[in-house]
Amino acid sequence: MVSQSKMPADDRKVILVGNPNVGKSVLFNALTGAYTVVSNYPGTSVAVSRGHCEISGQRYEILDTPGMYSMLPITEEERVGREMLLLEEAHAVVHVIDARNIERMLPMTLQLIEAGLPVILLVNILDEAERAGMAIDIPLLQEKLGIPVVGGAIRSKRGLKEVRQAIAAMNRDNLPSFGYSADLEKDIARVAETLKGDYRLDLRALALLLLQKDEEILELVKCTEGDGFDRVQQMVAETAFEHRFDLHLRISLERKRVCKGLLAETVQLPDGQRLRLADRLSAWTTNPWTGFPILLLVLYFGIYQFVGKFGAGVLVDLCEGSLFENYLNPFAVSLFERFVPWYWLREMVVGEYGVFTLGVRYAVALVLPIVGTFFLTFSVIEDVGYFPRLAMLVDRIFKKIGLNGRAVIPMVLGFGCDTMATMVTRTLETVRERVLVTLLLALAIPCSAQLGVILGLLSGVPGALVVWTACIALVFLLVGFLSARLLPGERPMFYMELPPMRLPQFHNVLVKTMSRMQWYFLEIFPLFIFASLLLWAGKMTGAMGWLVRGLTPVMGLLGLPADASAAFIFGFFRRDFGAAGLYDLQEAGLLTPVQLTVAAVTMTLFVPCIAQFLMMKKERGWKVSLGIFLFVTALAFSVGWSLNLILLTTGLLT
Amino acid sequence: MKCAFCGRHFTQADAADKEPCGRCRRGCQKAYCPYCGYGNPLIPGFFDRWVKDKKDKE
Repeated sequence: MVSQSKMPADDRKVILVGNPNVGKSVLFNALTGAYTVVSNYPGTSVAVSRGHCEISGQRYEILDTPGMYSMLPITEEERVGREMLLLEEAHAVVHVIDARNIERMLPMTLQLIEAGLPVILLVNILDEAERAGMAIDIPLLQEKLGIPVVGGAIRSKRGLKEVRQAIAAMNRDNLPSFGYSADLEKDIARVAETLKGDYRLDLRALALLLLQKDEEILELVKCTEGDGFDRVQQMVAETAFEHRFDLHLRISLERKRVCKGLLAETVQLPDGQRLRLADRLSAWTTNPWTGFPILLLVLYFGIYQFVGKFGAGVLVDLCEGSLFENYLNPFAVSLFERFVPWYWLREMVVGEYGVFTLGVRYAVALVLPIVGTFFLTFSVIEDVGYFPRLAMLVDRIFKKIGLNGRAVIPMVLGFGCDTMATMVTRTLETVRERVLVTLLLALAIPCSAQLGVILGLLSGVPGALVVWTACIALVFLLVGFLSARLLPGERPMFYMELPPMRLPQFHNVLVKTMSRMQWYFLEIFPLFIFASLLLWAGKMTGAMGWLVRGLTPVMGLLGLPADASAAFIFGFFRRDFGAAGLYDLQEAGLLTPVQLTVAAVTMTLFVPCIAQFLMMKKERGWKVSLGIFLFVTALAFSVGWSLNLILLTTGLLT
Repeated sequence: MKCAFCGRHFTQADAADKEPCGRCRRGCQKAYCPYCGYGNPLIPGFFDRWVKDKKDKE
């Protein structure tokens, strides 16, 4: 029910806060009963529930805030949640947390305490945590935090009475505070001392938010301090400059440290160190000794076996080899030969670069089975929660190439589509990181279809896949290492909360795979048709032959046949189109194992497709994108030329 | 929607970079997480309804 009715002004306010899905609404309903009011928070589209209850004869207004993860807002819902905490004069703030994820959620309790709010901590879903083997010493946690702490499972009304008692007994006079390390405390005090205005928020909390570059708080301080604002701003800037360190990260790590200390004594796992399998697996995936073997297993079974062998091998053979080659193509060709007298039209539809024989065949029979199996593997890995752990695992290696674990996001997305991943580089913190990742995406991250075709092709030649993997990995690390030394700029730290690992959910995986396949197919199908029309026009006008002849000497240097030029020209339209061209060459028996490996390496490193180049230009500007384009092209052919020489000289793969 | 990378919840209105990159005609069909920037696939309406029907039956 939606209405704008007002509560009586003398009601004491109780605000419920916490992450999404921790049981805030269950507590809200349990406290207020059926009579609640849902309305949009003024000036926003965020719905806030209000209700009331009576405890020991006192009326309370209960406010259910939208889910929030921290006092530093990112989304509109979090902004509303924080505004409610800052503007509503709360008698009590009930922070609801999930007992199973207490370590991830407790830092926000500290933030609420720091803000000088009258906090009650409800450790909810305690029944499930206990079933999982956790034991939380609630009285000890209460003693250590210095605020009322209630353990419960509100869905079964456990702890509800205690929450009501804690609300009634809330006393604002004796609020605790937490100390961080001495130097951080000194910084906080320096900033707090410059604040002279009258604030509802505790000055210490205000100083912490200022140090974390909270823009809304900066605006609030600007309005309140007036002429004194310059003094505050200067002190914040001086503190940040002195440390040359991300203060937001530093404060988060400090809070983590305090929470870890608190939980070390209050949370116990019975039966020694018995951990759930998911927790153990999670720890293994981030530990370098076990994490890299697990990564290799994931790549071997998920990518090599499933995408390379099954998708690019079995499924493509079935679709392309059997269905198109044996039935559909001969049928279409004979139909056109019988009924269409015009050579140009026959060529356009069923010729060498025909819309049907090339465009439709590539899109449906070659690329779709490969990206389908790739997206299925991707969705499973994603749903398990492996990607954030991969980010933690490779963080150390990425630091050597001037990046950090955060760069895993565009890299991982690059395997789906490099163009979109280039756009995602804008989420990286520094310009240096963005340029480095853009370069590495253009150079050494093949898109899913290209990767699938290449894996499918090379897995049939013993040793070829090892050579290809070694070359790409070496180029990736070497270029990253050298660029990191040549490009000036900051080196930000990386830190993230790991979500729990879990078994993949069938529905999630299926729906995400289907959604990605639908997006990909609808996107590439018209482009493949357009590209085949362009190639047909090139053939009819002779431009294609001219381009192929132009590239022939380069192909000669790489030790490749002249026909391989076409695949490279295709590759500039789209990476997957080029890989499909390579597949046709191999199927026609035109490539030796050495030539196949050299072509695969060169094409993987070869220039980004048109769409990716345009995105690079949009994100990085003409100068950088042209520089990357020229560098990548030169490097791809140099590596191809060197590899051809090495393979021929050593006799490897022959 | 729940981010498949960082596990945090966000609404589509909060998704970062709502403006599509323009390279794909139909947009990239992703909702970018405001917390970590990961591109989560937008589930087309009929898949979404199908999942909800299945879940309701369960």
